[in-house]
Amino acid sequence: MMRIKNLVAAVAVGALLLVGLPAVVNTEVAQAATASDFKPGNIISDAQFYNGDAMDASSVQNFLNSQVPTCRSSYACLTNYRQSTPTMAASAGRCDTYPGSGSESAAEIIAKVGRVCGISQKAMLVLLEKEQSLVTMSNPSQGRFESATGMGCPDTAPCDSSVAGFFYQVYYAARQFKIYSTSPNSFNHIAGRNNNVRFSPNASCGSTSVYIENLATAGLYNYTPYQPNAAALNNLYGSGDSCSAYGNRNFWRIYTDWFGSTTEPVNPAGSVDEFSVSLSSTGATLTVRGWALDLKSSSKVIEAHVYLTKPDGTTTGTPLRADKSRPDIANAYPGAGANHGYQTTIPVSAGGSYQACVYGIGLSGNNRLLDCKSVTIAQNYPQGVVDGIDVTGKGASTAFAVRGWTFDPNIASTSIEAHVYITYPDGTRRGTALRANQARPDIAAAYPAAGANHGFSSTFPISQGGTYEVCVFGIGTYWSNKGANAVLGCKTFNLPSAYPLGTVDSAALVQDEKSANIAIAGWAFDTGALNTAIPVHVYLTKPDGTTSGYPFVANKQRDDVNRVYGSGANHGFSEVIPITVPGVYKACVFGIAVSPLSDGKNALFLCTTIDASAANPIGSFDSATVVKAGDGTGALTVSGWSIDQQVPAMSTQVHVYVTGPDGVQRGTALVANKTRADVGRVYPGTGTTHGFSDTLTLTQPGTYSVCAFAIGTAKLNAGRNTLMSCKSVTY
Amino acid sequence: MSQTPTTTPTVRPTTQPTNDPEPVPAGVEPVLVIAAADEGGETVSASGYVAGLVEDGGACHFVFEANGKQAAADSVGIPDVRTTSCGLVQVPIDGLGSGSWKITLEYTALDANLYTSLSETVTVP
Repeated sequence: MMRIKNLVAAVAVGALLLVGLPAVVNTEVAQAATASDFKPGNIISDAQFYNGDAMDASSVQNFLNSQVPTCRSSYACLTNYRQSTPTMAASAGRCDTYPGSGSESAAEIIAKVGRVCGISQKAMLVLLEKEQSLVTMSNPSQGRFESATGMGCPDTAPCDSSVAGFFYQVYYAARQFKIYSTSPNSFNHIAGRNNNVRFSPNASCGSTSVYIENLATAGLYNYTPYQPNAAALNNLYGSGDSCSAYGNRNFWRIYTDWFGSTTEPVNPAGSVDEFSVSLSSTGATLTVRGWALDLKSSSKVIEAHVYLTKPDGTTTGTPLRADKSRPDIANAYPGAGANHGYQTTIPVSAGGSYQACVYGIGLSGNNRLLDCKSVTIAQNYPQGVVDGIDVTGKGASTAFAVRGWTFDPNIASTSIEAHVYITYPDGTRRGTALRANQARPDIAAAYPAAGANHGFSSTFPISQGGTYEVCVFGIGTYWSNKGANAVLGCKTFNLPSAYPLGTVDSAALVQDEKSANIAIAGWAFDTGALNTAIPVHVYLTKPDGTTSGYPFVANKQRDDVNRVYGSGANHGFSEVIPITVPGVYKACVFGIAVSPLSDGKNALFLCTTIDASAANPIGSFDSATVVKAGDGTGALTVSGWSIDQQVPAMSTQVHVYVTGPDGVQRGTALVANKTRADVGRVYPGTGTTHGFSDTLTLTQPGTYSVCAFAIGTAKLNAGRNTLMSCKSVTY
Repeated sequence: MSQTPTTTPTVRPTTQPTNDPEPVPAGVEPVLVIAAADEGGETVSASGYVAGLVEDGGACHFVFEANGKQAAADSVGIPDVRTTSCGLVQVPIDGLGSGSWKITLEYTALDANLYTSLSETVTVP
């Protein structure tokens, strides 16, 4: 990708440097093709076909305009066609990256595709013409654009819609020709060998053995596997006979007509023989060396223009006179003489990749890219480690603490900078430069040449929740390492500022005969500290108005909470607070924040009143009957029922006081635990075992007073007894 | 009243010849392109394509026969622009020996149809 950008930049700068020269690169003088010049084994030279800089976009546009000066109204011609183009990724052995655009002309597409795939724009124009006549038509149908180069449109099957459309047709055709050249043995026509090339799909039309001289010609036969027969060549601009095929004839004929010989050497000749680098302690020197020669005036000195693209992407052009002695060129080009070499040295002060592209500047405006070469000045990234990026402190003192070490291996004993970049929740990014010069004896021990002064540490206050990214860089400091900054470490934090979450599921009075408690249950956790069981504080205001606090920890298992919040299971609480005084209580339950930014921001889950007033038991003394026995005693039977509604499931006591004729009172304690289904029906939820029934022995005839008390059973009802009734019996 | 002379026509007359259409194969036919002994005298090469069919993944089977013996080399067809390419294969001469070799390309298409090329005869030194 960088290479493409650089090349584009080079061409742009080249246009500036070459001011005064014609904007359009001159082509060879075109002339009508002569059939006898057609060589089936060398339809076009590699140098012509694979010249990805044969034409720039303006040259292609000018050429298109010359072929169709006026496009018919309501038609799109190649002269005025535009479309958006996608970015096509680079692929080894295929094309470099094609940078897409929102709107590009056909000329720009042809020029760019040719450049990134290394296929001549002239060849692409000829391909478009021989497949669909698109270059010369002033009223082309849309269908001709859809299958402009015939890619994905086999003669015997419908077109592949995935490669339809002008851009894809041009791109994939150029890519296919590139693949032919880089994977020749995957195809069937092979350069440098005798190939049986048919005249027609019809086998009876025959074939000849053709020695294919170069990759470009082999590629054309792979694309269109027939050669023209004599009839097709004898009528070069018309039809042959039933055994004639025309694709490769027309390619050759159109190219020759438009651009001249398909096999003439490209001019200027030349090469880039050396692009090298020599390093010193303070910088480097690049050397560019080669030769350039205008074949039409070989004895004259021409210029070579060097475009140097630096690692930062900037390009500078330097014009050189190619007049240095090159005896080898004198030998290779008789009559040219030796003075065609060029050489320059360029001091540079940064590491990274450099590219030099050299153009031979022809004497008749025939400029040509000789080659592009690259060198890399190796860059060593700083060594170092981030020992920690942590959150420290609580509440307003919360901060990121960053610590580590770094040094530049080329100047190991020098303290360099570490840069800390923090991306805040609002998207802003702030950088801080730290001097990594704190003593780190451990580094000195591990890297004796570096010494100890390479540590860094600092804190960065934060005040709000959200997502942070903290990245630490070691900064390349040696001249060749500038810009080569090492990512020592990055860490992302998601810091909620939310308060603790939680719910009080129940807060109620729970008591039996021995104890009374306020029971509180629920769950709570801090969204910023899921692994911590947080405190839960209960503030209980008693009937006398005093308030006491009770701290608990929400650490009991609550799988249901984990299922909903993914918080881990141990965030439940279920606690009891004993009370002894009846009355109305108020309980307030707080979740206690523990995570850094929410520290102190405790959440009130619930305040509620709990009625723990005392209440007398209820009941009924249903009957008291006495039966006189033979021995003179009386059998007193008492029955009824009693419930303490604050402990409805428990059986209460019933005390029966019997006062005899002599005034003596005797008390008997009974338990109201006998079955009384009728009571259960009237007081649902209390069960059916609240009846009492017993028989007492009376020894003295006369009238008795029998009184029954329901006895307060719940802890808070102690002493609260209910006189159900008194009855009078006599025997 | 004089009439304005006719101006230059806006549409340029074309001298461009019509591009004759490329002939289309009548059916599916494997075609041998290279069938020759290689330099060095150790291998024989063959290459070919399948006309009339463009598909990916068919089976190319090059058959070499000489001296009453047979050898074969296989490749997987890849789609090209107008054909299915079987690429280039090589077999050692040792296996069949010198003499007249008959080379044939068989292609099994994705629809399981088998197509066979015309054979080429090669003299292998």
